[in-house]
Amino acid sequence: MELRIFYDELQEGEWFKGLTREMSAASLEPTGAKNENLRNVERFLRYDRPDIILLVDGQPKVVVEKTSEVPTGHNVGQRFARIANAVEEKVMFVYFFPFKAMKHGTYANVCYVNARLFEAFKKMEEIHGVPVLAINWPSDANHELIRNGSQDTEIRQLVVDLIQNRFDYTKLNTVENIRQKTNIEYEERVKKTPLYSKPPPSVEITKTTRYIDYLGGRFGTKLDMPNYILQRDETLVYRFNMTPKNCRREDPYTGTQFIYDYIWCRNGPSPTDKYRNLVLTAPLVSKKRWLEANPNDPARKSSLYYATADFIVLQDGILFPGDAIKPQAQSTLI
Amino acid sequence: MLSEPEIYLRMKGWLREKKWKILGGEPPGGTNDIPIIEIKTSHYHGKGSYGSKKIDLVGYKEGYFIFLELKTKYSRYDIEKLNTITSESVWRRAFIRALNEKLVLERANIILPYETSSYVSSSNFFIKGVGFNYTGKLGEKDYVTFIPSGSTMKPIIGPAVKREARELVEG
Repeated sequence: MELRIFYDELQEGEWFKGLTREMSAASLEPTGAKNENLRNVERFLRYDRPDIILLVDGQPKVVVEKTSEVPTGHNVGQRFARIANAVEEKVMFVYFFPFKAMKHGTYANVCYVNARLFEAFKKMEEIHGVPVLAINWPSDANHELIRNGSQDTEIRQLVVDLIQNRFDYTKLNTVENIRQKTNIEYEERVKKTPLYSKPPPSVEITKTTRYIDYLGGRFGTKLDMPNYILQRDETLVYRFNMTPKNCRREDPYTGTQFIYDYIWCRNGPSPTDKYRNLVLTAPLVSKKRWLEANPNDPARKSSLYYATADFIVLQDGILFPGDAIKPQAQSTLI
Repeated sequence: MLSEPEIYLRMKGWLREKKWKILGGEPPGGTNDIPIIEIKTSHYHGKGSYGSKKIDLVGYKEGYFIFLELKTKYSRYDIEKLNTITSESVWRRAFIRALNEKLVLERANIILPYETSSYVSSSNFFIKGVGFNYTGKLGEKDYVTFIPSGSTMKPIIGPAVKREARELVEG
């Protein structure tokens, strides 16, 4: 079995290779810039760059992300697009991160994972039929992350089992055990913060007809909306409080939209498979300014704004993904 | 020429080989197995990382800390950063506070041999180091410059580095 580890950062590649002696013969290769990789690596760089892509006999078998940051607040969606990319490619994703940890500084406190992340993982598994596993980076009694090597025990066991079973994860108890732990954590987080089971304040779910009427009134014209938009009974509107000055940014919005998409909009493997429209809105930003700041340029992360949302509502009009391919493009809809 | 992550990993290897305890640091990208030690002075009250200083690698041995900044080539900015952190008591205090907040010393089973106040009042217990590919330039006289050599890093000790520090680096 030929194992090839492609890494985004060398120390992460070495960490993964060093997890188990079964991996010792694996090659360690840097992931190149976009369009400079093997096809089976390039497939995972469509939205973003994951930490690790493992090829087994030339085929991608697992994509891994490791972080010492608790996915909460603005961090929650930061890495989500690369997860979406992997599962769209029907490849298992393993996300190794702390479910809780101490945050230091002026606002020192224990941070807990946002439970919506687990809900999105569950939906991803249902839709794409591949595991999306969250493995806890454990912390000690003081909520400080454990860094003595024992933090890797669970992910190490998973990797060993995967190799020994030639990456047939359907046979592994390890996978089910990890899911069970995630479920327990999800239940606990929702019990402590019931708001996690509902959309956040930045999200509103409304009747599509009512929303389209509202937009028509706001822009003073009858909107010529595609049928697929009108046929969906409801629309989820995710609002960004960006100003023209600070609108050139991707995190956390681009990743977070995928979380909301999976939890409340998606019902199939393609971003167009939705039972509810997904709309992004930055009501303080003009179309011109938005396109300058966030073009649909595949070389930039801002292209993710056009990856799954149905359209974007701005101060003076609406953008559909196809309208934003070039920075100077102008929407013809309004 | 080595990349920054390669220099970073070799430097960690050198520290371990020479029996320094690696207390923390920040890799050039991605996630590492050591804590990030973010130093914030009391002048700074904002949220996030703005205004704080992070050191690429922090090692400890026999009462001394070594601060290492690593790049592919000589960086004047790195020299100025370490000069500031080691020469100003407000930053030294902030460094000790950052270690205490994350229980770094406790977790590494380190009991400082001198009073904490000694680390705040004096720069004697801090060794400044920079690491980069050799292009003819070295750090200042009171710096240890590490350059790639074979599979490790070779220290070049500046003439103004104090004797105790020199012995620890050579040891």
